[in-house]
Amino acid sequence: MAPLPRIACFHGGGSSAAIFATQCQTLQSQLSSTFEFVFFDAPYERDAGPGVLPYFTYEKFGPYRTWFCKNESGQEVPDGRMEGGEGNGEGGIERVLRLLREEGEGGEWVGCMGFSQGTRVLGGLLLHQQKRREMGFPVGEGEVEFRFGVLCMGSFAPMVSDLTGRKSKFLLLRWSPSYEWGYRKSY
Amino acid sequence: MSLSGTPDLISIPTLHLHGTKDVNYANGKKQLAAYYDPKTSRLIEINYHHAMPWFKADLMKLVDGIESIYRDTQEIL
Repeated sequence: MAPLPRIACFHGGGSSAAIFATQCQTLQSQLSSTFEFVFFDAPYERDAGPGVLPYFTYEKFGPYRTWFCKNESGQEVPDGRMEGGEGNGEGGIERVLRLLREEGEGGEWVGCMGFSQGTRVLGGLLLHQQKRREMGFPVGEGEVEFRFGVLCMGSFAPMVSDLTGRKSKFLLLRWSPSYEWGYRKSY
Repeated sequence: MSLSGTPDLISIPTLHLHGTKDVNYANGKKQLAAYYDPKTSRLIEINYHHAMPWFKADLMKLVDGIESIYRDTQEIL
C-alpha cells in the first residue's frame, strides 16, 4: 500500500508535539484513511500555554515549548532565531524545513496545520514557498511543496524566513548608499 | 514585501478555523485579512473557545473542510 499523504502539524505556544497530537486524536482518526499527521516540536521552552493545564502535566508532557524566542530587550524575534544560543543560530523556518527533510521517505507532504502560534510557523512556511517560486528557485531534493494550509485559532504575523526576511531587507537597502549590490543580488 | 511596502498575501490555498468564543477571535480576523489572499482562503467558524474542536459537529466541519481543500488542490502545483 502506498504511504498516506502527510500533513505537518505545528502546536501552539506553551504546548508540544505530543500534546497537540493528543488534542488532534479524534481528527486524526476521522481522517486516518486519508492522511498521516506528523507533529513537530518547537525549539524553545516556556511555561504552559492556554488549555494545556491541568490535564497535560509537566511530569507527563513537559517541557512546554514555543516557536519564538525574545531578544535582549524582551522583544519577540520575527524569524525565531536565537543568536549564539540554542540551535546554533538557525532560523525557525529553516529549522522546520530541515526537520521535514529529515523525516525522510514517506507520503507526499500535501499540507500543513497549525494551532494558535503554530499558524505563524505555517504562514512562514507558505510565504517562504511562495517567494521561492516567485524568485524562480527550482525545487530542491527533498524540498516540500505544500498544497494547502489549515490554520486553527490563529492570530498575528507569519514567522519570517531567510528568504522572506532578506527580501524585505533587499528593498530597504535599495535606497541605501552602502547597498552591497553584488552580494544581495545573489538572492 | 511588495514594492508598495505592504506584505505579500499568501495565495497558497488555506483553510481558517475561527472560534467565536476565542479571546483571539478578532486577532484571527486580522491575521486572515492582513496575510491571506481572500481569493484562496476559506473560513469555518465554530461556537468555541481557544482550542481544537471538541464537539462532534464542530469537528466534522473541520474534517469536511480539510477533505475539501485537499480535493480542490489535487491538481494545483
